[in-house]
Amino acid sequence: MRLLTVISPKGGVGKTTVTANLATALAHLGADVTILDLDPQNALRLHFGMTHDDPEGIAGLPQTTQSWRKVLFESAYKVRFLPYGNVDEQQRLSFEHIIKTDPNWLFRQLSGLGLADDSIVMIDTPPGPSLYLQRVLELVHLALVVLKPDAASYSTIPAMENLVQFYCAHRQNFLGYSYLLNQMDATKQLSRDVYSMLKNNLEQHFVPVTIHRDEAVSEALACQMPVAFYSQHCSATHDVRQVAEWLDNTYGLLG
Amino acid sequence: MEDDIKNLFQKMGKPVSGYQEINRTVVTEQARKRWPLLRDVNIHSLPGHYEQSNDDEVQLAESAPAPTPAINQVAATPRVGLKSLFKTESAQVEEKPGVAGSFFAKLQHKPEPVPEPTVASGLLNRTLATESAAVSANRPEVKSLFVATERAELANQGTAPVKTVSQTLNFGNNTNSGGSTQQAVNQDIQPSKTVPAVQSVLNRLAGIPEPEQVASVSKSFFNKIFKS
Repeated sequence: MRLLTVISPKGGVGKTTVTANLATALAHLGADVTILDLDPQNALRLHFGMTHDDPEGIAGLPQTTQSWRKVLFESAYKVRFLPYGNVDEQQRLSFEHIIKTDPNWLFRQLSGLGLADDSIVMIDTPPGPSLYLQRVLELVHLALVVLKPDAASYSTIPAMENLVQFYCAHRQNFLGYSYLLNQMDATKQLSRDVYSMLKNNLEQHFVPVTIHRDEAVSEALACQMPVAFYSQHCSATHDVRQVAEWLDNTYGLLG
Repeated sequence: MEDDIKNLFQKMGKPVSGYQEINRTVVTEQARKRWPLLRDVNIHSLPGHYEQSNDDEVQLAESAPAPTPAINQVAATPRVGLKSLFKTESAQVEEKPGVAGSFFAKLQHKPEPVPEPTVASGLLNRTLATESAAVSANRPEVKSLFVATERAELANQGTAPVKTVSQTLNFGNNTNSGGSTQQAVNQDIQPSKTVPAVQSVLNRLAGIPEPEQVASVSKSFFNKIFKS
C-alpha cells in the first residue's frame, strides 16, 4: 500500500474536500484508491453519497479491534472509503484510547484490509496536531498539507514544518511532503502574494498547481458527489486533476 | 524552468543553476512589505527527501510569472529515484527502525491474515462490488452504495443545476436494483491538452489584471542573470 495523508494546520481550508476530489482524480488516472477518514467530523463519506444518518464507521464498530472490512464502502466513483462513523462522545473516547495505547493500531488495521501493494490509501485527518495525526505521520509515505491563500494559513506553516520534522524526517521510507493551496482567488492581491511567498520559500515542497475557488465544489458536495462528476469541465475539476498528475510525476504514486 | 531558458544558458556556455527568477524575489519582497504578518513568519522548509536532479536538467516546468499564479502547469520531470522507492521497499526484508520503517518489511513477510469476522444475523448484508475475475480471494468485503439513482432523482428535481447535458443523460440511465457498483458518469473525462491557452483566456474574461512589469534596476539583463 502507498499511504498518502492529507493534513491541514487549521480547519476550514477544504482538506476533506480536497481529499475526496483528489482521490477521485487519482482513480481516474487508473489508481486503486481507498480513503480512510480519521476525522471525527465524519464528513468525507458525504462526498460519496453516504446517507447523512448512516452511523457506520470505524469508530463505531462494536469492538474496535474488529476488521475495518466490515465498514469498507465502495462508492459509485471508483473510490472505496472507510467512514469515521457517527459516534457519541463515549465511543469516540474509547476509540481514541485504542489509538493512544496501541502504536501499531493503524498498521494492523490497514494490513487487514488486504489491499494490493500498489493500492493508494489516502488518509484524512482532523485539522491541527492530534493523536490521529501523530499515528498517521508515523506511518505514511507522503503528506500533502492543504492551505488557503491567506495570512492565517501562512502563519501556521512553521508549526507544520515542526510536526513533519518530528514524526517523519527520520524515516527512510518517508518520500516527502508538499503544500497545496486550495480556494485560490487570483483576483485578490493577498492570495497572489501568499502564493508567491510560498513558492519562493518552500521551493520543491510547494505544489505549483493550485485549486481555484469554484462554486462547483460546494455544489458538488451538496449533491454528494465529487466535483469531477458534478461538473467535469469546471476549473476545480481541472485543477484537481493536475494536482493528481503532479503527485504522480513527482512521487511516482501510480508507478 | 522553461526549455528556452535552459537552451539559452547552454548556448551561452553558462550553468543553468545561475538562473534566477528575479521577478519572484521582487514580488516576494513587495508582499512582505504589504502584509506585516507574512513578513514576520519565518519559514524554514526541510530538505527534500528525494534526489535532486542535475543542474543542467530541467527541474520543474515553472508556471507563468508570479503575479499571475492562476496559470497552472504540471511539473514535467519526475524525480530521479522516487518511482523505484515503492518497488525497492517491497523487496527489502531487513528491519528498519521505527514503526513505519518495519511497515514494508512486515508486508513482505505477509502478516497473518485477520480472521474473517462472523457476520451477526442482525447486520444488514450489502452486496459486493463488481470486480474483475483476477481479484484474489483475499479481497476485502466491500459494500455498495446506490448513489446513481438517488442522485439522478435529486438532480432532476432541480436541487442543484446540472452542468452538462451528458451528465443528465448518464444519471438518468444508471438505474440498478441489484446493488452492484455504479458509475454516475460513464463517459471518459478527457484531460485538457491546452491548459495554458484556456487558462489565459479565462484570466482575461475574469478581468484579472495583467502582471505588473517590475522595472529592473540593472542596465543589462544578462549581467544580472549571470551574476557578474
